[in-house]
Order: sequence, then C-alpha cells, then structure tokens
Amino acid sequence: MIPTLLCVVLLIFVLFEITPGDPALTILPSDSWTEENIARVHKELGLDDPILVRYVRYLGNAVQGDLGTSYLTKTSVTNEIAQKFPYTMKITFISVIMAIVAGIPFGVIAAKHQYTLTDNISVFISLLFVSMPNFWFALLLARFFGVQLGWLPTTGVETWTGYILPSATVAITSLAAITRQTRSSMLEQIRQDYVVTARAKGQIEGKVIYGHALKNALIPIITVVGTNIANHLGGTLVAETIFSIPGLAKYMITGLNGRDYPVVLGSVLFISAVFCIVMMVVDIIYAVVDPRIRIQMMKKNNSGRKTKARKEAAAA
Amino acid sequence: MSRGKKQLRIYEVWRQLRKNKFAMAGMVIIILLALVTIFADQLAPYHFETADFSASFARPSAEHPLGCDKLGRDTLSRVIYGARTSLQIGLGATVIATVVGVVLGAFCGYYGGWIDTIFMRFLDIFQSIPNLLFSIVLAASLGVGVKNAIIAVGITSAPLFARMIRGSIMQIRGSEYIEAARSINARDPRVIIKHIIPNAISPVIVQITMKIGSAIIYGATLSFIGLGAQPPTAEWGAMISEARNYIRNYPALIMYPGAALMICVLAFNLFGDGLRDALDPRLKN
Amino acid sequence: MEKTAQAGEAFLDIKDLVVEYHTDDAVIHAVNGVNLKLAKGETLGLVGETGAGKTSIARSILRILPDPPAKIMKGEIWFNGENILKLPEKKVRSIRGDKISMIFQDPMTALNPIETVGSQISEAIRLHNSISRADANKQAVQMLETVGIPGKRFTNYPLEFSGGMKQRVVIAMALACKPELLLADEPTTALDVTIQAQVLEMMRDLQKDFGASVILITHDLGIVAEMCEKVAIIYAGEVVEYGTAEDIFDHRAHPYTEGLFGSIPTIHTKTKRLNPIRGMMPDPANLPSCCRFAGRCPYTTDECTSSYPEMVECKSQPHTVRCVRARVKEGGSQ
Repeated sequence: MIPTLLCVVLLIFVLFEITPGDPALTILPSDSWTEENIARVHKELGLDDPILVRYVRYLGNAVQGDLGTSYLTKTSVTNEIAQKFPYTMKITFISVIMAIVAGIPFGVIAAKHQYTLTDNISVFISLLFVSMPNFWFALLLARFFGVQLGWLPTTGVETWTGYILPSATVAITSLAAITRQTRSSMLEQIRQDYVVTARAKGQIEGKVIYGHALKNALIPIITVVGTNIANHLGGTLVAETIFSIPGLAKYMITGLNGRDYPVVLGSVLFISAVFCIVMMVVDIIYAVVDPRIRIQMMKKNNSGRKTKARKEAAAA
Repeated sequence: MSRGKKQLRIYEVWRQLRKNKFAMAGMVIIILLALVTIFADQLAPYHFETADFSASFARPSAEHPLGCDKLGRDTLSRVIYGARTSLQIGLGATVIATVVGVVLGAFCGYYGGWIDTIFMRFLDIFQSIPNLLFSIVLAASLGVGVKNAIIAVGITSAPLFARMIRGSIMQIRGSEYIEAARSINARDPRVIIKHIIPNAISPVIVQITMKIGSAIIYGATLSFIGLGAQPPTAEWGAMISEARNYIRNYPALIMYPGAALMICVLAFNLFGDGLRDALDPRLKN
Repeated sequence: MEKTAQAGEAFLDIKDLVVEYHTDDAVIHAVNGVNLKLAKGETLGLVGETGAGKTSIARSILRILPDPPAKIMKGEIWFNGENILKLPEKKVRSIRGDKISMIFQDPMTALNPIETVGSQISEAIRLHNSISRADANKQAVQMLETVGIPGKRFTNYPLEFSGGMKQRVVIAMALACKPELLLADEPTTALDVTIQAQVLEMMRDLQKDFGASVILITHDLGIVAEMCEKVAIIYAGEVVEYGTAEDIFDHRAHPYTEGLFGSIPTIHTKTKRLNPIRGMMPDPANLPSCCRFAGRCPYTTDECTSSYPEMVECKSQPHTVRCVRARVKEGGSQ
C-alpha cells in the first residue's frame, strides 16, 4: 500500500510538471502577471526547487499528516479533507449497500429463471443501467423525486433524506455489475453437485439457493463489489457536483481548475489510500466467507513458522 | 489456422450472433448512429451553432421538431451533431486505450519476467486511483477540450486492456501448440503473429466493444463537468450540462441528449454482450 | 409386463417411467418406459453404459431431476403405497433424505465446499427430526464415527478430506436419517481401487445394520456380483434384461449383457483380448423405433430392425429380457 501511494503522488507530480499551466497565474490577478511577480510567487510556494526535492518534501510532510496549504484559500488541506471526506464516505458507503441489497437478489432471480422472460428482462435492465450515464440519471432523479414529487431534497445533506438521491445515483453502475456477476456465478453454482445433494437431503428450495448456492457464489461477487468501490468513489464525485454536496469532489475540482496543487494532491492521495484500505478489507472478507482461503492462509503461516523454526534450529 | 477454418469460425460467430435479438438490435442502432454521424450535415435541419433568439426555449414544432435551447438553437440538430462529438470521443479514446494496452500487454505477457513484474506493479498503482478521478485529473491538467478528453479517457482505460491481453497471452503461452511451434523452431515474432494474436483477440474484441460504450460515458461526464467539449460545440454531456440550469421548467432539454447518450451506449453494450457469447460459448454459462 | 401389480404390493414399484430432456435443438429420450420393482431389504443393481439413463431413473425417484431441461413425461413411482410423482412438493421433500436418500457419484463435488462436514450431516438430521442443534450435532458425530471418521473431524471442511473420506461423509449424510431406500449412484467410480473395496464393504455392513433397500447404479459388474441380489441391465433408457444376479451372471439372455461380460477379463478363461461391444449407443435424441441394440448386435435379423421387441419372460422367474432371440430360445435350454 505504501509504495502504491508513493507512486500515486509521484504520478501526479510528474503530471503537473509535464502539462502546461502555472499556479502563479491563478493566484495573481491578471493585471499583475509580470515576470518578477510570478517568480516571487514561485519562490513563496517553493516551486523553484527541482521536482525531486519538492516530492521528498511533500512526502516528509504527508507522513506527519500535513498535506500542505491551499495556494488559493491558504487553509490547511488536511483540515479541509477531514471536514469534507465524511460526506464522500457516507455517500459511497450507502451507495455500495444499496447496490448490494438490490443487485444480488436481482441476479439470483435472473439465474433461477435462466432463459425465461424474467431472465431476459433482468439482463436487459442491468445492461440499461450500465449504459446509463451517472450524471444524467442523477438529473432525472432530481427532476422526478425532487421537483415533480417534491419528496426528496435535491441539494445539500442537511437531513438524512439528502443522501438518498446522491447514493442512488452512484449505486446504479455497480448495481448492474453486481447483478450480472451474481447471475453468472449463481448459474455456475446451481449446477454443482452439492446443490443436488442439498435438495436430496430434503432442504427447502429457498435454503438450497440462498443458504448453499449463494454462499458459494459470493466470492466473485465480493471481488466485483470491491473493484467497483473505485467506481463508487468516482461516481460520488459526480453526485456531489450535481447535488451540491460539500464533499471531496467539489474541493478537488476547484483545486484542479485553479491548479491548486496541494488540494489536488491531497484529495487524490486520500482517495487512493481509502481505496487501498478498502481492498485490504475485501481480502479479509474473502477469508471470512471462504474457509478454503482461510485454511490456505493458515497453512502458509504454519509453513512460514516451520521454515523459521528450521532456520533457527540450523543456526543454533 | 488455415484460411478456410478462419472463415468458418467467423461464419459460426455470425450465426450465433444472429440468433441473439438484443445483439442484433444493438448492431442496427450502431449502424444507424454511424450513418447519422457521417451524414450529420445532410440530416440536421440547422447547423449546431445557428442561434435564433426569437426561438428561445421554443416548444416542439414543425420547424424545430424537438424544440430549441435557451439561445434558440435547434435541439434536434444539436443532438445529431452531438452524436459526432460523442462518438469521436468514444472511438478515439478506445483506439488509444487499445493500442497502448495491447502493446504493453503483449510485451509483458510475452516476455514475462522482471519486465512484466514492473509493468504490472505500475498498472496496479494506476488502478488504485478511481478511473473517473484519474480522467478528471488528466483532463484538467492537459487543459479542457475534446482532444484532451480523448487522451485522458484513453489513457485511463489502457491498463484494463493491458491486463486482459497479458492474461490471455500468459494463458496461451503455456499451451501446447505454442510448444509445438517452438519445437519446429519457429522464431519468436512468428510465434506471436501466427499463434498468440489470433487466440488472444476474441476477449479483446469484446472488451473493445464494451469499452466504446463506457468511453462515451466518461467523455460525456468530462464534458458535463466542463472539462471536455466546450460551448458552442454540440456534445451530449455538454448539452445536458447547459440544460441543467433550466431543469425545473424545461426538463425536455436534458431528456433528448441524455436519451441519445444512453441509447448509444446501450447499443454498444448489447452488441458487445452478444459478441462475447458468440465468440466464446464457454462464457455463456 | 403382464403380471398385474397392485400398488403397495412392492416396496418400490416404478411403472412405465419416461424422462425427456428438452433443449433448444432436440428432445433427448433419456428414460423410455422403465418398469422396475424392489422388495424391502433387497439390493438392485442398475447396470449400463454412461448415458444409458441410470442416473435419470434414480433422480426421478427423488424428483431431483434438473428441471429445466429434464421432464418426467409419464409413469408412476410407487413407494410405500404412494405415487411419488403425484405427491405435492412438500411431501416429497419430507421423504427426501429421510425415507429415501442418495449417495452421489463424485464425492469431490457432492459436498458443499464452504460448510463443515459436520454441519452438512446435521443439516440432514435437523430437517427430518425436530431436535435441537446440539442433539443433531451429537448424532452427526455418531454418524461420522459409524462410517469410520473420527468424530473430532466434525468441524473440518471437505477440502481437508481425501476422496475416500469424502465419500464416507456423503454416505454418513445419506444414512443419517436411517432411510428405507438408498440410491447409490456409482458410489465408488471416482475412488481409487483400494478405497473402492473399503467403501463397498462399509456400505454392505451398514445396509445390513440399517436394513435399507438399495438401488446401486454402476457399470462395474464386479461390484454387482459382490453387492446385488437383483440386476437390471439398462440400455438406451430401457431395461433390456432383469433378473437375479445368478441369472444374469450364469444364464444371461440379452446380447448386450453378453457384450458387457465379454468386455471384462476373467481369470478362468483364457482370453487373448477383450471383446468390447462394437459401435456406440444410439443418439438418445434420435432413437430407432426398432430394437435399440440392433445396430451393435452380432445376431441382428430382419425382425430386429423392423419391429420393437417386447419384454419376454424367461424360464427361471423373475428373469425377463427384451430380445426376440430369447423368445425363440424359450423352452429350450439356455
């Protein structure tokens, strides 16, 4: 995870280095764009130093929890992120739950009725959702539930109802992915012999499907959920823009427009870190769900311990 | 693979594909879209920039079948020209992603070893940044505009292709007929061209088709955020972004470009889905 | 069969069972009018090639055929005086795993990989007995020990067992509710030869202890000789010969049965080479209307290719055979 984040920061550093644009120009009013003014700003911001020096300096500060100060607002990036991230996280989290809660049953139903109308319809709907641009779906939701029916707020998150539309917006893309994955891994599982065994025991159909087959189908579904969390974070950026939520996305996009490097760097670094942590959690969930992985891990640990013991014995 | 056999396979794929109604519907829409894009100048009643302030927010009429936007520009014409821009972004980005991805993936997959390890680690890092976030950062730092949006979306999508190609090659590399080719002393480039590429290509074709759809969405999203196509260029995402301010009174203005966008992406996804089933029956459960 | 069989007379009575698999392109005739009877405590061997319909017959009894594509088109299956095919699903469910249970061919895949073996056995127990989880677990441990697995392995997962051990688990699961009828679908095919013998011996002992009737599906005549009292030879979804094990082994009347014996080596006769049956079983999607074995039979006559043979009763009851030659030979010595 640490090397990943180091490289993410380096990537952005290089990106800003090789692309046109100068933060000094956004800081200074356009009538004072003189060479000496620009040079002065560069010096103030430490932009004169070679890229490696800046990189190391940034990392040194980041390790201590200091993500720098915004060029434009002169506020601490760490503080701003700490303030804005909860919104982004809540929307992402709720949307993941929504996608799972709706996607898995859809997929199971489609698999159970393979090649029937129900299956075709659910495959089509899931494709429709994949094809739906997030931002457009958000506007449709806002128009229908916000303007037309007046049920839900379309801006801000003063009350919990404010989270519904943004989260729904984010949920649709991975909802489709989860449905499709559930369908195909369920189709694989319901043909397995152990499902017949469960039926032959006299188990009721619901338990056969949800208790036996679905549990086995979960592994690839978890993978899809895990990899889609990146998409959720991305989608949340769109949702925040549309529903005027003071989250990380807005902060970052403002930073991008003003070439406010610390803001962009901090936001991207933070989101990547969150994503890395989520992927680690997903790995742990695998082990919880699948005893095969758990046993493998235990074996690895044991053999590791054994080699260590052997080495120590040899050394003694 | 002899020529006769190859033709037979293409015919078989087509036969499978034709049975799939969804895929055929997708294909028909794609063909229509292509025609609309090519003949936009002939089809559109007005030029996309032609403004007529007297027709501001005009309701649908014989002159303006889908009505007009705030500046009195004909919505139908702008949707038609928008197809051009959106497809341009989608196809352009996919071409970039494919070329970069295939070259990288084939390189890594074929040579393996430490080169592969380094590149794959690099791609891991790349993919730990959410795609959309990275496209946004790229597009913003490259500067706004259609060209840069294409590059941003293309580069963002490349790792996926690289991974997939590498995966197929790794799989094929170990298989027996490559060993057979080696044993008759075929030199490396010939092994790649004659044996590896034809076998690695099916998943790539499927992925390309599906990717065009998502590239169009990403492109439109960038334009929606204001980082892609700029006014007065007609682009579906940008049109939705402009119409957004009038959503309360003129919701139709977001409906047309949005529906066009969705149908377009849906067509590529339907076709790609069908293509996958036809190319690889094993995947069809 | 002409004999009037009354419902309830036999312990298990399958009458005119027809199973078809309906796919997009074809209708596969898997089971075509099978009649079979089984008395209490008896072991019946179903012998035939892969794809002959043996498994479909067994699964029909439990009504666990994969539907779609499989459909039971016709027939009756009388068990303890009830026609299983007419029972409501709920009733059948209470029979499955309790009165009738099944041992599957491949122990590698028959167990749920992510549940402990113990919980899979106790699941079967709890489904048919209203007892607490703890009591069910206790019984499951006992069952494991009955099949020769230490009870402390209750909490292990299938992947921690060898193939033979897994099959023991499957057997433990099948016997957990002391079934009256056990359907064993090639229970040893997937196992090593040495393990096969162990498992078979165990099954035989357990059958004695539990007093269950058994339908044993196999293509191994050696196993039949060891285990079965009655044998039905299945070919292309039909019973082509039925009789006691002695009849089948010593007075076989159907050319297909002869072929089956011709394709196993014996140590008593000097065989230079095995005589496999020529050709292939007819395509079950496209069965001939005449004798289904005519295409491979060394004795085929015009009658064989023009008419469909009826079941003929042989001298020693209950020995029946579906072959015109048997009718010709009738009265003569075999």
